[in-house]
Amino acid sequence: MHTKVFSFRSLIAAFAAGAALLFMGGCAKQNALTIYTSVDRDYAEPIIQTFMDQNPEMEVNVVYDTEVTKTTGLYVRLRQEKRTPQADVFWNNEFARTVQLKLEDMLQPYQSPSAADIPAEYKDPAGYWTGFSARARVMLINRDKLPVWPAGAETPTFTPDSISDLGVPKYRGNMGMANPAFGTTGTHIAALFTTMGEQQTLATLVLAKSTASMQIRSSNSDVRDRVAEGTLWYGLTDSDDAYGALLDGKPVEMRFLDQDGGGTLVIPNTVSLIKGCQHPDNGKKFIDYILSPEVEQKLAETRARQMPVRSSIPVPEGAAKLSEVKAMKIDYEAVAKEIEPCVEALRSHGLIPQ
Amino acid sequence: MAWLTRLIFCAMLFLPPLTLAVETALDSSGAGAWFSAFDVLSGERLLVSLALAALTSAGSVLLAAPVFAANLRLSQRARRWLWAASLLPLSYPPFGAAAAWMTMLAQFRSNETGAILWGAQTVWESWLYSIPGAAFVLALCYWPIVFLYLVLSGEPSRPGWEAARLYLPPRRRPRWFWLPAIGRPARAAAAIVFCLTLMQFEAPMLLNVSAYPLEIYIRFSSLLQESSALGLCLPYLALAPLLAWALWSGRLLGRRGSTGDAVQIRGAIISATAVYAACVLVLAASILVPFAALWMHAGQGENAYSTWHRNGVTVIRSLAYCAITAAITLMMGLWLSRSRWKREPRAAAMCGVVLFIIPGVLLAAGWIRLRSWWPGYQPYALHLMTLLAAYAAHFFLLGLAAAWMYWNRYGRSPREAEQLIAPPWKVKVFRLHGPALAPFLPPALFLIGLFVWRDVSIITLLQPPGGESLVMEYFHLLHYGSEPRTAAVGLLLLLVPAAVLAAGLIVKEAWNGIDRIRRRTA
Repeated sequence: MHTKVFSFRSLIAAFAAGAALLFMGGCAKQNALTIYTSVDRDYAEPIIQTFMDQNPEMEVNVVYDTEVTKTTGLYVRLRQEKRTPQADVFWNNEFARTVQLKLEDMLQPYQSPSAADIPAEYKDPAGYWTGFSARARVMLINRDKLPVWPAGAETPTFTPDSISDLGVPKYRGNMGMANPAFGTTGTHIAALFTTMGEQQTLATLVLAKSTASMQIRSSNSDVRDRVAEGTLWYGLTDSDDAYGALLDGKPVEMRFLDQDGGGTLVIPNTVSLIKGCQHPDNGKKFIDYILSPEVEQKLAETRARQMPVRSSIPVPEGAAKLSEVKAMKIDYEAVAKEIEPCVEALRSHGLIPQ
Repeated sequence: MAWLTRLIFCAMLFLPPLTLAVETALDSSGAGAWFSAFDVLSGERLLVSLALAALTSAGSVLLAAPVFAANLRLSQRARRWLWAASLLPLSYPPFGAAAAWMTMLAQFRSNETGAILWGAQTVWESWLYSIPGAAFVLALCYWPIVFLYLVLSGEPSRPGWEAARLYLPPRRRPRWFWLPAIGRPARAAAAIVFCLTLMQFEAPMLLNVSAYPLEIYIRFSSLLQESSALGLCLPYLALAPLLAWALWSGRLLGRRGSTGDAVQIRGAIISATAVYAACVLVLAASILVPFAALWMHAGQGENAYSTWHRNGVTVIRSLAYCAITAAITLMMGLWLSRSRWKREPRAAAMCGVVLFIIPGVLLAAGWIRLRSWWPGYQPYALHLMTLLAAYAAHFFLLGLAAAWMYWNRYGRSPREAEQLIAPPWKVKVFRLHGPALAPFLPPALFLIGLFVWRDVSIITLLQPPGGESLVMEYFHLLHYGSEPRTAAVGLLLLLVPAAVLAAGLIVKEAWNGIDRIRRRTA
C-alpha cells in the first residue's frame, strides 16, 4: 500500500533550498529603509514617493496599517519584532502608541534639525518622538436629519458639540462613535480618563449607551459615512474624516468638541526612530524630511486637511488653523499609560463592541 | 524513517504558536493568565459565536440544498458551469459581503421613492445588525463549501440510486435513501463552515455582533494580553476533536471516499421549476448583491480602469501568494496523507483542524516571534517564506482534504501495482501520478488559492514590506478610501478569480474538443 514518495533526504533538500533562497535574499542592498506607517495610504504614499524620488539610491520599504486595527496592528508587530527590529522609522498618525513604545524602551532619541521650529508642546523633551500635522476630535452633524434646525433658521436650537451631547435621550439611536478599543477614539477616551476622571467619563458613556442607545461603529470613517448618509444624525469622529465628507459636498457640519469647556483632543502625527534599527542614518534622513515645513504644507492640502503645528504654514480656505482650536491640556505619557486600563474598563462596562 | 519525517514536519507546523505560548508563559504573568481571561463577558461572546456558527452552518446547508438538487438534474457539461459559479462567492471576503449588504440596504433606505417600504426596510436593516442577520450574510458566503463537499463526496452513488428507485417509493426515499447518502457529507461540510464562522471577526464586527474572536483580538492587540489571548483559544482546541471526527466521518477526509461517479437524477420530489428558481435565487443573492453594490459605487469606467491599472502589480502578487501557497499545501497534503497506517492520516487530520481553527492573527504572531530569532536585518525572502509558511500551515487542512480525494480517485489497484513494480521516480511522476493529477490539480489549487486570496487575518501582521495583497488593500480602503476607488478594488477582488475560472473552463472545453477530434481521427 505504501510507496515512498518523499524521504528524509527530500526534507533536508527542501531545507537546503530554503536556506539558499534566504542567503540570496540576504544579499540585499544595505542602503535601505523600512517605514511602518499607520497614516492613511492615500496621504502617506505620495509623501513617501517624493522622498524616494529624492533618494533614488535608497531602497524604501513601507508597511501600512488599517483603520480598524489602526496603529495597534503595527504596534503589535513592532513589539513582536522587539528582539531584532525590522522597522527603522515609525510614522504614526497619533501619539499614544508612540509614547507607549518609548515607555517600553523601543525608541531611540533623535532631535531633528527640521523640528527646530516645531512648538515644544508637540515634541518629546528627550527627543524620542516629534509631533507634526495634527488632527482633532470633532462632532459631525447631519444638517438635514437633526430635527432642531427649523427650516430657514440660521442657528439650530441644539448643537451637539461636546462629548456629553452623545447622551441626549431625545435623539435616541441616532448618534454614534467608533469602537473605542482601537485608534484615536481609544486615545480620546483615555485622554478623558486623565482629564475628567475615570468615573465621570464612564458615567457619560454608559449614560449615552443606555439612555440614548449610542451606536458603536467599526471605525471613524464608518461614523462619518453614516452621518453623511443620514443613518446617524451626529457622531464623534476625526477632523480628517469630517473634512472628507465636507469636501464631498455632503449635508454635514463639523464642530470641534468642547470649545467652551476643556477643549478638544488634538492628535498630532508622530515620527520616531526605532531603537536598534538596521538603518539609523537613513531613518534620520527620512525623519528630517517628514518634519520639514513642505510636508506639513502637503498634509494640510490633502483631503484630510491636517492642521500644521507651525503657525507660519498657511492652510487651504475653509480649513481650521491649529491656533484657532482650543486644545485639551493633556500629559501624553499619562494618556499612553491609561490606554489599557481604559480599554479594560470600557470592556467591562459593555462599551466595546456594542 | 518516514513516520519520523512526518512527525518532525507536523511538529514544525506547530512550532510558531508553541513559541508564542512558551515565550508569553515565561515572560509575562505566566501560564496562569491563560485561564484568568475567562470571565462572564468572554463567556457571553463565546455563546454568541457558537450560536452564530450553528446558525451559519444550518443556513449554509439550507442554501446549498437547492443548488445541489439542481446539480443532480443537470448534464455533466452544465454542472461544470454551475460548479464554477458556486466558487464565486468564495472569492469574496465575508467582510466585503457584509459591507455590500450594508451598502445595499442603506442605498435602498436613502431612496425616498421607496417610502412605502420604509417600515419594512428599517426592520430589515435592524435585522441585518443581529446574530441571525450576520448568520445570513455568512451563510451566503459559505454555502458553496457545503455544495462542493456534497458534489465531491460523489453521493448519491449510481448503484445506490438505482436500488432506491427500484425498491423505495418516492415518499420513503428522503428517510431511507437521501439522509443516509448525503447526511454525513453535509455534516462534515457544516463542520467546516462552523470552523470558519468561529474564526470570523471582521464580518460580525461590521454588523455589530460581539463575536468571540474579536475578544481574542482585543485581548491580543489592544490590551496587549498575549497570554489571555492564547488562553481564550482553549475552547477552540476543545472543539477540535469533535470537528475532526465530523470531517473524518464525512467520507471525504480519509480513505472511505466514493470514487465520485455521480448520477443524473431527473425525477424527484420537488418540481424542477422550484429547484431551479431556488438555485438561481441563492446564486443571485450571493454573487449579484456584492457585485451590484460594488458596481453602483465603482463610478465611471475611467475611475475603475485607472484603479485597476494601478493595482496590476498587487493583483499579480496576490495571485502568486495564492498559487504558491496552494501548491505547497497540496504537496504537504499528498505527502502526509499517503501512509500505510490508519492512525497517521487521522493524526494529520487532527493537526489540520487545530491549525485551521487557531485564529490567524495568533498564528501570524507566532511566526513573527520565531522569525525574530534571525540575527540582524531580515531579508525579503524570509518575510515571504514566513508568510507562505503561515498560510500553508493555516490551510493545511484543505490540502489534506484535496489529497485524500486524490488518493481515493487514484484507486487501490494502481497503488498496489506501483508498490509491486517499484518504478523509478521519473516514471512515477510523468507516467503515473502526473496524468492522474492533471485533471484534479487545477480545481484543487484554485479552491485552496481562493482561501488565501481573501484572507486578511494572517497577512495583517505578516505582510512583507511593500508586499501588500489585494484583499489587504481593499480592507484598508474600506475604512478610509473614497467610495469609487474602494468599490473598484472590491470589484477587482471579485472579477479576477472569475476571470481565472472562466479562462480555466474555456481551456478545459477546448481541450475536450481537441480530445474528441483526436479520438475520432484515431
